[in-house]
Amino acid sequence: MSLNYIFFYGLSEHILSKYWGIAIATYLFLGGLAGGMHITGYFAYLYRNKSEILDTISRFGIVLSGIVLVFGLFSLIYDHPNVVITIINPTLFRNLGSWLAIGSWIILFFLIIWFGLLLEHLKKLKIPDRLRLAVMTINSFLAFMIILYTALLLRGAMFVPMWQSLALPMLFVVSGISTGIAACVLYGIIKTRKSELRLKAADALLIALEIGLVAYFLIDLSGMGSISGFPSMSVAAKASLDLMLDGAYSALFIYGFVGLGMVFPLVLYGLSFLKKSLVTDIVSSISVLIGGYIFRIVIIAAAAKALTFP
Amino acid sequence: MDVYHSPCIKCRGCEAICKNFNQTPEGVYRIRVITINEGKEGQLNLPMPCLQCNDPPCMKVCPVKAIWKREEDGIVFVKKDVCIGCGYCATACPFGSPQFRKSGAFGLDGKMDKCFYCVQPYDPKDEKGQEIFREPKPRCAMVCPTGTIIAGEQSEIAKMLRERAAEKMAMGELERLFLFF
Repeated sequence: MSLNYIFFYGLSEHILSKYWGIAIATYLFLGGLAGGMHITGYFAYLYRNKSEILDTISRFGIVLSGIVLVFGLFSLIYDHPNVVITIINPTLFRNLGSWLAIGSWIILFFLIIWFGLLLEHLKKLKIPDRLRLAVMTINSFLAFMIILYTALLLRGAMFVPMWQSLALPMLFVVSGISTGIAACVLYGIIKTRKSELRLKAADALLIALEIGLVAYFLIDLSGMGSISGFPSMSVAAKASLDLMLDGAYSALFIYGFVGLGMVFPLVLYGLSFLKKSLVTDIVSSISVLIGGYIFRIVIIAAAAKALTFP
Repeated sequence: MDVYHSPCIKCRGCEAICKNFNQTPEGVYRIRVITINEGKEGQLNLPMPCLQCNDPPCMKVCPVKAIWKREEDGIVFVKKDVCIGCGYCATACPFGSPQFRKSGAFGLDGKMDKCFYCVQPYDPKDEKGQEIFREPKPRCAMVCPTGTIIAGEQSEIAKMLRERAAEKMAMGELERLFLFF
């Protein structure tokens, strides 16, 4: 499909591949995963009453979330070495109308609070219970904002119709929390040889919601593809949709994300409710994680490739 | 400044004079001539400088407030001492105006570079503190042999375009002309 509109002609393939590649997809995935793990850890902490597995998951979610986020930042730095300067001096980010700046501040505050919680976990710091709960509540909100930020960061590219869809931030949030739960369930099984029913039920519910949101996202995108008053946007929207459903990324999207990341684990979760099996839980958690990563890759690649002119 | 698309013959004189005059680094083109429908019916050459948008998306997304718009003439500038080279502006601009070197030392990007119509920079002094004198006319418009890029006061440009439209009407090419407006 050729894009014969002036709107996109300033872009070059160099810019697209440089700024939107696998490293950014990794950053978005790890950001979402870290946020999801922290939120799961927080809820596990709230309901941990004498439950060994929830206590283990709570510690894992909260302590590991910061490390996962730091790995995500490494991925970003690998792609954009210039970002290091803002780690040295974060006050440079002063345009609070830019999601890049807002997100960086959120990440900074999250990591500071997380570090305090890490010291507490390592018994280097004593925090009263009430204060700890308040701090964890604040950090869980920041974790939620990090997941949301990973989607809103993409909205900065105003010429990419796919990233302007309202379904995308919701999808990122649901997928981020879902992957976070999956990672925590996986760790819980490995550590305690038990799986927590409530967490599995929550993940299954989120996956069902995700399937609905994917349908909404595709309908939204196909609606954008038929806006006649804005041809350049509709051509790109249609190209993205074609790439996901019938093009270069259709296998990744349909089999990888929808199949492996949503339908397969949902069926496995359903089976595990009927008959308890740790192997089934492990496989479903891993497939949720793989599906979440594939989702970010497809969202980045299908949008960037749709704008590449002939 | 206006870009009158139809007569461009892609001589790329605008690119050459821009690079020469502004001494931009390798890989940075403040103006580029782009061809649409190459080899097909309706082939069109388009010189693409920065369009100095009314509400520039690059300025909106810049996390460090390095991009600003001068009120007097609406030209969008970048403060090179503030820019961190994150490249977010390049993803926000649909015309590819923010330019970065392909790769710097240790893979670092340079500061953002963009067209500002060769007008007086916001800090009209060079590194040695000497005043920089710039003629208030873009170099690309000065060298364009076909008059594709025209610069001047708004009234002058409007007059020039009206004359061209009248010329085209006389030649019976009115229908084609509408495509370019």
